[in-house]
Amino acid sequence: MVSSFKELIDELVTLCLATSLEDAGSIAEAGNILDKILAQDLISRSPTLAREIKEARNRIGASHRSNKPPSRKSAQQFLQLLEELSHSLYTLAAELSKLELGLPGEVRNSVVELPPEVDEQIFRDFLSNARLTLDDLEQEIEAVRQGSPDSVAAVKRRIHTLKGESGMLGLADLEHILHVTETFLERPAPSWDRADRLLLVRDWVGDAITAYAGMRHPSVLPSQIEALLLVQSAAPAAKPHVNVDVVRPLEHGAQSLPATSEIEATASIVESAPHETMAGDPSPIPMPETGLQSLPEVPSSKSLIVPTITQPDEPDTAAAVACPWAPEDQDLVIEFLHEVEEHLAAVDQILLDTEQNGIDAEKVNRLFRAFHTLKGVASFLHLQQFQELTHTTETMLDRIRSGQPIPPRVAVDLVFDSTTLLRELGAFIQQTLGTRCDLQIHAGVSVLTERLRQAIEGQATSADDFVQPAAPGEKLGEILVREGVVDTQTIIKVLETQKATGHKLGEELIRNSDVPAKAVAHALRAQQMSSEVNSKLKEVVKVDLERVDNLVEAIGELVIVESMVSNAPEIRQLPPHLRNYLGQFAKITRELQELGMCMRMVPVRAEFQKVNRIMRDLARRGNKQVRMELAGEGTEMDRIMVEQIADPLVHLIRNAVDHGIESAEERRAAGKPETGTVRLTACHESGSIIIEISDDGRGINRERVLAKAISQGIIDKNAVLSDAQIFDLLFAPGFSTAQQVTEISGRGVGMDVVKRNIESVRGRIITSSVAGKGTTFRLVLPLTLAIIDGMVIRCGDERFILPTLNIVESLQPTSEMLFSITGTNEHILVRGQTLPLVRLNRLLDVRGSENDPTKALIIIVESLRTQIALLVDEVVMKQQVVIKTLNHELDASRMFAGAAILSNGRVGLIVNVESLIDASREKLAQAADLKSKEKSAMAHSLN
Amino acid sequence: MPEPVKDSNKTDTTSGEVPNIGQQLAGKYMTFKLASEEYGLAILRVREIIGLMDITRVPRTKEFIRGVINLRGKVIPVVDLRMKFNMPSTESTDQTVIIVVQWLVSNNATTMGILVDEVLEVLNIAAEQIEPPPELYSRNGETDFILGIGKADKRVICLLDIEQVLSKDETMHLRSLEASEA
Repeated sequence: MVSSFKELIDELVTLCLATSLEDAGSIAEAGNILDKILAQDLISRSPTLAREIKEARNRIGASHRSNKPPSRKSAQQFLQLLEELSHSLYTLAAELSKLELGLPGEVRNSVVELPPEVDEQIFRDFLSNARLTLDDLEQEIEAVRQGSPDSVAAVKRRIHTLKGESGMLGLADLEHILHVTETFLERPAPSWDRADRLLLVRDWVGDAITAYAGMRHPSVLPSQIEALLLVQSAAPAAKPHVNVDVVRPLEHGAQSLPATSEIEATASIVESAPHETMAGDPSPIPMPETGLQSLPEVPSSKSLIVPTITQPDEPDTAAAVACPWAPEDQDLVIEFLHEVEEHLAAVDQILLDTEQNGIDAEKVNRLFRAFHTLKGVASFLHLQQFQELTHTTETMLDRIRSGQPIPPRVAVDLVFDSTTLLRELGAFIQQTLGTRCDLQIHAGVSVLTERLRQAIEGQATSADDFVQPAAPGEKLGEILVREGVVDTQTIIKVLETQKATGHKLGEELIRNSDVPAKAVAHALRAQQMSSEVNSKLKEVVKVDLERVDNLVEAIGELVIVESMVSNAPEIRQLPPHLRNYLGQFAKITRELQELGMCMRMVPVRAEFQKVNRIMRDLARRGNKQVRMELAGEGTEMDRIMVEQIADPLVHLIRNAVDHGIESAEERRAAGKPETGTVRLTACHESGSIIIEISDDGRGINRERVLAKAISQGIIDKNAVLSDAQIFDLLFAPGFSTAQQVTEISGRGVGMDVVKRNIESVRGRIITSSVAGKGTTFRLVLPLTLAIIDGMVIRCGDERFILPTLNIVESLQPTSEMLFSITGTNEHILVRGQTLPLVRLNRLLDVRGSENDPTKALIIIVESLRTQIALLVDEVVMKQQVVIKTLNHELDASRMFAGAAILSNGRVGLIVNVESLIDASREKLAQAADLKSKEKSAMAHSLN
Repeated sequence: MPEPVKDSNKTDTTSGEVPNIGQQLAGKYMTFKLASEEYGLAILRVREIIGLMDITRVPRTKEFIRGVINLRGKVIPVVDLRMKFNMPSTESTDQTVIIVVQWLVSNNATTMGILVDEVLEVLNIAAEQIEPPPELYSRNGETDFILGIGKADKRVICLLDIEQVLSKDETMHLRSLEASEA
């Protein structure tokens, strides 16, 4: 319904643009279209608009009846009127299509019906497989962004398989979109653009799978995604980013509602776009069918790439030009040749580094400078070919610098070829110098400049030679020898010198000009590919998560029983060989426990990539230049923990981009590189997982945080706080220092979430910041959620477990250390530090425990930078315990983090130190209250 | 014995003379003793009966929760029914047992132990043997967890709605707290 309505609007717009309404016929035609629109039911949804259209219709009718050709002025008025009307109509249509989603049974059935021959189980299997595929797909899309041609093929294969499966299951929408995506991949497009759109498809497919799992249709109409895929790529607009930006939902989760409306909005933008280009093309809005029809007009990717590879050598090899410089300039030329050699050596170095460690802005800058200098001198000396080549190379580097995504491999190859040619040109010049002959012209220059130009114009030249992956573990030298670039003797010789100089083999080979730099780079790439190939060979088995969890739980029980047996006093009376067996049993149990834990572990890579994506979007929106550095993506964490840190990571990244990194101008003024850096790293450190998010932005403004906290009443005006305490304020609920609330952050909700999520997995956040230098958030997380290190303590007859993470130290107090304030508040002085003394027995109503602190034990515990001295009877043992949660009704005070089974088989409660501290505070307050009441009662009775 | 009961149950259903509550509640019950009183638990709720074991006290929780036990690696709470019903507590005997009950709350299994003086038998209680809980007491909310009163062999068996015992006791709990502070 809506689509026929839209068609009418298009007709109207087309008419206006094609005829400018300057003759009576076209005006009559416009009148007809308006009539048709008025006849549509849908127009009744907007009475105002209907009235306006009627008025317009009447005016047109009047002008038509007068039977005079319309004056230019009135034609213009009509035109304007109709344009305004069509604009309102488009808006209406967009809203209607939104409504259409909710119209039951009219356009879409709200429930997915499987074809009768499809088994429900097969359907479920397909969905869970598809979900896994999407994760792989995301990684491959990132590779597409990097410009790897293999990855495009990989993406194609995945999409094709998915398409086939969804077709078999009768999921027409999904099949259709995947088909369109396949077609989209056939067409040439800049790799970044391709990647952006593929991500869009990936998101939609993800939503669709979730929807299908609930037997619903995806909430975003496939035609909208399709429009996004087709329309823009048919005519790459001046600002290709705009649409993608709007569509990408800000929240990483698939929140279908806001996402829908956003895509809706884009869809309307996209759909209204054609009326600018439609003058000569009366085809209606690019709805699915038309989009497909227009495909053949776009040249296929092959025809674009082929010429670059098979470009024939220009036949002007033998041509020559007159020696362009005077004899007195010859010294200059010789000097120039030295300079060339120096610069090219530097360039080779950078390129090799790029091959191994990836490209970054700094390297591009250095390359750019080298070529720029060469160009300057070459033009001074009228070395035309030299100048031409350096200039084109420089242009390409400049494009990379300004953000045009030329695939790094292509770029590196081009620059390599450029250096080779420049060296050859240098040799020509040298020859010419001695003989006073004419300077030879090198045929390769024009070929290479052509390739460079193509790269500049964004046609990804697939100049990537075929690189045969090296055998696993093959050394650089071996590869070079195998490829016949260098012989074994040279390698051995160079290896000798390498020992002395400490350089890398590749560097050494190039330094001695034994091997061209490009060959070394190729060998390095082959080496890299071999490790990639290697990792692909790993076999995996998909297992139901529930089974893994059951297994892990069973292992947990085994561990407990094992320690119950091993710790039983009777065991000591057993003969030694039996105890030996028990020892082995214990060892295997522990191995099993570790293996079980591993099964739940997943690398953080997927999460990091998601964050990377979000960061790119944020930077684009905030108009900031930010580079993301990732490290340690392979670090493994508990699956549940990875989910738990997803939100905090997003918030911290937003924080870094929005508040941390300054605008380019600000950065320049502060003497920093214009492009900011956000680093996200993960690593293991002494039994914890550390995730660090650091930026090189403006840092946290101590004073502003304080002022804001005071104005919001979070802290007292006269409070004296340490840096750490001030940074902690950032995580207070509702706190935000952003002067303006942007779309991205500043509402003060995010950091609160960060803190809560991190603490819910028993992690800590350590903030450090240097004003003007940047901020680092360090998340310290436990290796696993299921097991903690605990100290079993005794209090009376009862045993409790204190998490080792919270324990600072334990000590036996002497009477000199103890003192009290105002009679009741007990304190203890530990090395000059005063800590409140909290008696665990009183807090937990334990009977029969030691009341004299000097005969008991003090354990200093810490949570959120608050320390208290806890009085307990003794420490029994240190034990790793498997945490079992207590339900809320059981532990209404939230005093315990859970329960665990002790080695004697009894249940021990794990103390939640944070709420313990809170409770002790309350208790103190109550005591103080009671005392003042007593006092006033006393006063009363005295009166 | 059970068979004729079942038959009478059926005939009653057709005649429709028996009050609704009886038909809803008729079935097998595990009966147990608290002091001199007899109680019944729907048999489908009962998972197992275990002997008394070490119970770990949970500080700062409701009075009637004795604590938690380790049931083959799972930590489950144990409710002291005597406490719950404000009966004087006694020393445990060799008859004292824990009945482990389980039910589903929105697809999650809730398991808990009930500390009782003595387990008696599994009894089939027919529809006409069941009466609604006494109205006189139901007003103050104390009988929310009593489904009905069963009569068999001149014994009176109080049929418990065990789900209510742990979950809907907030008000009761608060009331008892107020009482103790006053």
